[in-house]
Amino acid sequence: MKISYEWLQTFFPSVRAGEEGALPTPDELAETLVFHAYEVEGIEDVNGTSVLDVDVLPNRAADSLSHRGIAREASTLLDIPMKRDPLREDIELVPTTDSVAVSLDPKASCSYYAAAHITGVKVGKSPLWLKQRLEAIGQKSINNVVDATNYVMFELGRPTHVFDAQKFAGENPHIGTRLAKRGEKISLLGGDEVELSDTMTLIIDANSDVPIAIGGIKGGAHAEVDSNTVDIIIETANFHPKQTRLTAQALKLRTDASARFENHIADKLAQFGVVAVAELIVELAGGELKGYAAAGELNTEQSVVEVTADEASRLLGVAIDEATIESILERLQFVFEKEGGVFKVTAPFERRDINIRQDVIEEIGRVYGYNKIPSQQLTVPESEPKVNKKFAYAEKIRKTLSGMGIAEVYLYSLRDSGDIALLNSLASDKDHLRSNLAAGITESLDKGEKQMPLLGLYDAVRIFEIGNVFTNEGEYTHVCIGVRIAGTKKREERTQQVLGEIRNALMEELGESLPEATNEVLEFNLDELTESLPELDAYDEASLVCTGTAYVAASQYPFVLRDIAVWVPGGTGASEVKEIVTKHAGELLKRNDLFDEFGKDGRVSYAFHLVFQSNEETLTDQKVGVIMTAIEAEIEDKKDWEIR
Amino acid sequence: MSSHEDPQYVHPLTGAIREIVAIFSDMGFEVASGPELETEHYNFDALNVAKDHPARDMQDTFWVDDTHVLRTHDTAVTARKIEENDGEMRYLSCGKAYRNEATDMTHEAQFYQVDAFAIGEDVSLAHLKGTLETFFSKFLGGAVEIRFRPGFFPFVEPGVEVDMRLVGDDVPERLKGKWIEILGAGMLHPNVLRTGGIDPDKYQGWAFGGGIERLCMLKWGIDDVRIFHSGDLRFIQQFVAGK
Repeated sequence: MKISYEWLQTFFPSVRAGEEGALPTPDELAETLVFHAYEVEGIEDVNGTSVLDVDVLPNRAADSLSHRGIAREASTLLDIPMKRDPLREDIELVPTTDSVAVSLDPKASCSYYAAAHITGVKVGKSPLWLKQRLEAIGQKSINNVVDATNYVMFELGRPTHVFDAQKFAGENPHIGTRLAKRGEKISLLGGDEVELSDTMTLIIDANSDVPIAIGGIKGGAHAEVDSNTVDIIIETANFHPKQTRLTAQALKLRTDASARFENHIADKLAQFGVVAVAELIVELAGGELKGYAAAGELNTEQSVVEVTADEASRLLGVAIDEATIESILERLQFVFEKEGGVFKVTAPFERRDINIRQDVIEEIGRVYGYNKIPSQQLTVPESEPKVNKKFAYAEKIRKTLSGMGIAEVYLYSLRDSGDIALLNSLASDKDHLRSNLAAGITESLDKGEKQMPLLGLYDAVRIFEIGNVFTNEGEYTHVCIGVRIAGTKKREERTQQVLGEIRNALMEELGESLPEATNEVLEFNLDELTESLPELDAYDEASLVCTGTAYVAASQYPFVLRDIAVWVPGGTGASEVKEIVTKHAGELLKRNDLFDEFGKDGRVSYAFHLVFQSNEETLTDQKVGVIMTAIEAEIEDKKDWEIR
Repeated sequence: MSSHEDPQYVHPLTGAIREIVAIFSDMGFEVASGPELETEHYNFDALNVAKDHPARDMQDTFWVDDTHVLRTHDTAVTARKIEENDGEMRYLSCGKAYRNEATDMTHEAQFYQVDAFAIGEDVSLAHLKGTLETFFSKFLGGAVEIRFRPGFFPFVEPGVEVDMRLVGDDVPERLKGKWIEILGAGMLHPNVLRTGGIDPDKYQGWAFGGGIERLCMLKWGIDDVRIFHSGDLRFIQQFVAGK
């Protein structure tokens, strides 16, 4: 929510930062709010005033989505009194009038409705100060009447609405509520038409049954205020939080008004809202207030919460004495009685979030300052914690497989097929839960096989995953090992041989038989296996951790593989050949793997896989060719060296 | 197979979880786990997220049927353990959680979360601060400062956002002295304790939760969360086992 610093200052005695009774600078204010109340996403300058983007937490949305709410909080936290606080004034809807009637349908989700009737207004432009305040917080100025309702919403956090009274049927306007009929349509302000369902609450012209607004969401076009309007009705009503949320969700119409009703703003705020708007409209647009008419009930019950200094200190972990608590409660304007060390606390009516002891302790803690909480270690337990058997065996399996150079992968649980489907999914290829690990492992083998030279793998890709699968029988943790052998020669036989060796190693480590591999994978149920294995009284030493090299992102471009074989005189090291290769290939050389070495007639043959890849472009054969030619030329130039 | 000895790779998630478990085991925490396909009860209701609570909108959930979800947080395990046990307890869980949201460099539909909680007669926010200092200091190296800001999660009251800062000579330059928003935490809400059969007038405790990928990204300077679950061996091969 955008908060204008200049607007905020109007609540305080002085506007000069640093002076007594004034807010500190916007930056200092933001810092205070961040550490004691809400996030501040940023501060920007709009036409000469600072505007804070305040992210009010959900539990404070009822009282803090307004300039008055933030001013109240700043007053508490900074311990500076407010010059004006509209919500601490006495409020009464007087005079009453029968020039407007209000009646509520108990089936609709509107528990209270107050209307103010003003005649003889002159709709026109808003004064500069009002325009500027609204524009600073990103609101467009429309006209003095509509702007007045917007202003009060951002001043007090209370939505209201204005109708043109002459657009009602009958002699005296009669406002009603009812549920919409299924499929009923309403044209909204701004021209959109929406179709309603029979759980949605409408405000209607009761004389004609025509809908004039969707309760708590948005006004309709039927009784819209326009430049010819002279008589108006101001609406302030309380709507059910959950119903408002569901309606806003269903219509995809989340408005500044609905956001406030969803968060259950205090019932009594309705009266402050309608009076503030009526007064502001008479001030800006003239006219005569005929009076107010209201129907329904206001729930003004507020919890009385008991808390002691000891309870607060025990939860927060810092000793806070009664005097400090008293001072904090006073700054919060919480009303309290103290009886034998027990504070009986009642929050002001607009605070809806103070209902249990812990709520009050949170208030004490954050105003006192979380930075004053010391750090304390938990007592050292007398015995070692119990071993989680499945985790311990999963770790044994991981270490056995890692020890054989097999890489662990973590893959997606959401796939295109499986026993269990999602009701709501991201995409059609991710609308089921996996019922095995093999499918994902096989895909990863495909990807790995294409990258083998880049990975320095020339015989096989070997990977494993330990993760959960979801079948009609239930959810289980599986282990799956996959092997892809390079080349086609005796592929199946070699695959079975490699998987067999892995299976043997695991069976030796675990002392339990495992199922046979099928095709390229060996997959088994770790839950069942763990059942059959003995209990463990300690974890293995956590010796295998990652070493702390900083990660380098892989290139997105394809690689080029070239082999080179060289005859060199006996006694020449492979590194001498590598040096020449590196010199010409530079940064494009990603790997330089010696794969063959033998001696004959006093000479040695070295053969290398050279993998080239650029981080900026797709390498052409031509570009790699130039490098290879240079390498080969230098090698041929050397005495007794020869390219094979 | 290969002529030379194979290097031992450790996936960063495995490496991180291994270290987290070791650090918390030393502090007396037992490793817990629970299902990823979770009931609405443990994922929401038992954690004080009421049916009509706006907090249910805060996280977009994958539903499987009317009463089962892919758990949106590993905190569901916390709800289960509180129900299973009485009185004092300390548990740690590292598990997969899911969110139905568009993916980008910092958001994934599936991710790993570490959740821990401690309950006792006088376990306080001060113990949370101390425990987190020990954890981050061992996990990331160097001296650690922890600070709390007000936060809101339905299952804790008070709720805090946890920032962390590493100071000292051994700290990597990219992390040195910077405040980093790292976890959500707080004191377990009495409704959560009560639902789990624990008397909130006698016992209290803290809980925290955070993303393990995020911890890995800080530790190893990784910039894209999606790579953890990609199965990309070019990524995994960069993480070799060591002491």
